[in-house]
Amino acid sequence: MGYLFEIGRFWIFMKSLFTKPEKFKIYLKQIFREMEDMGFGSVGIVVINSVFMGAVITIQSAYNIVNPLVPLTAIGIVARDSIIIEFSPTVIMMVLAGKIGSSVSSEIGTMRVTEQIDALEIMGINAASYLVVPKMVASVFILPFIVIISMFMGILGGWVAGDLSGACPSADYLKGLQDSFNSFNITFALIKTVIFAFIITSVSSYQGYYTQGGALEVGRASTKAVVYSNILILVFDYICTQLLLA
Amino acid sequence: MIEAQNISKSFNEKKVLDNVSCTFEPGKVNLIIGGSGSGKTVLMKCLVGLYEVDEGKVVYDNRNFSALSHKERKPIQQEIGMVFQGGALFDSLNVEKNVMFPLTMFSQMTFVERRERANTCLNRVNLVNVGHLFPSEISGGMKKRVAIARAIVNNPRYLFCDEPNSGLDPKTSLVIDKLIQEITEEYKTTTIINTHDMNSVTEIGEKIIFIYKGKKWWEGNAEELMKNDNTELNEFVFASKMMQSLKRV
Repeated sequence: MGYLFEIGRFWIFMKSLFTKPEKFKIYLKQIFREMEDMGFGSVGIVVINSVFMGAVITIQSAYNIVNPLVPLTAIGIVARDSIIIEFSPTVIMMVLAGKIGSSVSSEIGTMRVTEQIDALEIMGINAASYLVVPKMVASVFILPFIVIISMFMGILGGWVAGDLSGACPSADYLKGLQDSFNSFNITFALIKTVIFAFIITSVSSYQGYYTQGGALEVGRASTKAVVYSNILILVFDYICTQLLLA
Repeated sequence: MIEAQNISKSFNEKKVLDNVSCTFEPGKVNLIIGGSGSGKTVLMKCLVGLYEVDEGKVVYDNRNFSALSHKERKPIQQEIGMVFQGGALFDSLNVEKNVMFPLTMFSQMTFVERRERANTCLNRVNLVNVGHLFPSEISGGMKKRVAIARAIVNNPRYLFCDEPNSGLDPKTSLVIDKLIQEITEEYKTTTIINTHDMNSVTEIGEKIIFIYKGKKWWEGNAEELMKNDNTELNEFVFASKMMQSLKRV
């Protein structure tokens, strides 16, 4: 029953978001501010994760290719496709669910417990829409760019690690990157990113918006936001893969 | 004038407000008093629409607020100013932008006009040169004054204050009380203050409503309060030795 209640309340929450904004100009300003926070604020962690994961994927691929008949270019192909199809849109978005999700949830949760949301509502402002829509729009627009940066940095990390360790010479890696490239993989990754961005902001905002109590509950809401976002990302990753690639 | 007509409100089948009826008069400081957990905050939240009443209605100058949809309530809500217990200032905005916020959202004023109006209100609450500071950088008393400035920035007809003195020293409490009283007289607002600070009650209480166990138990003014013979009210009002000595005088 608890889950049914949560699902019902989530849909009511989502419905309340889509109302006419009080002042579009204010929303636009908020969207750009959120884009800066979510986008530029996430570049560092995304670059570090991507470079190292790209390096690990490349070295592990080389380690697993023991058959001398398999060309070394296969390492480039494996690294490229793993990074583009799965690592950047899914794993990086799960990392961002931790960073952005907890931040969104705790920000809105703190506003709830300190009565800032009540203050907005008393003024006649749709607090849910005012607080959540700019975050949602910003994430859906900016996170695909972050994922593209992640793809680039992951592939770059793999190239550097492969070359430095001697696991995959530069020429083979670069040739592998260009072999049988399917551009739909990029489209697929970006479609997933947009869906995951929506999941992260909507789930985290929902958890924050209905926080009751104090600091402890704000912390719990943040944890729930990250856990539920990650589970939903995995579920929707499977659904998207089944629908678009199978 | 604000009227609460036979208001009842329950949470998880526990009745927190039970058939409360009262009238809050314009140009007067109306106080809601009562012990912790008596239901006075719930009553205030029902009055401003943060909680929907289960039974009864809230009427703002002959406009049945309870029967209106959220969209229809907006014109009335824009006539309401509210000072929250903790100030409820927006952390991401500095003091000046906090005060400007209602104007930014609803008025057609230019930025310069809005800023001028915000600074007038900040001056009114005796705050100067703090506009650039953020809520985390100012004291509790200053936060309350900024909250009052924000509440009056769009000339509200109705002013609600939820425990405006909580956490403040007696001297600052007195300043805040006087400020609210002056604003009420100046703007002819219908002011409702939720408090259990007996200093406020004796200093500024023009109409007092005592809530006990979710019911309206007593109604009167400060003078009548001192002479009342209601047991529950006397237990609440004269709980401290200072108030007991005042009664003897």
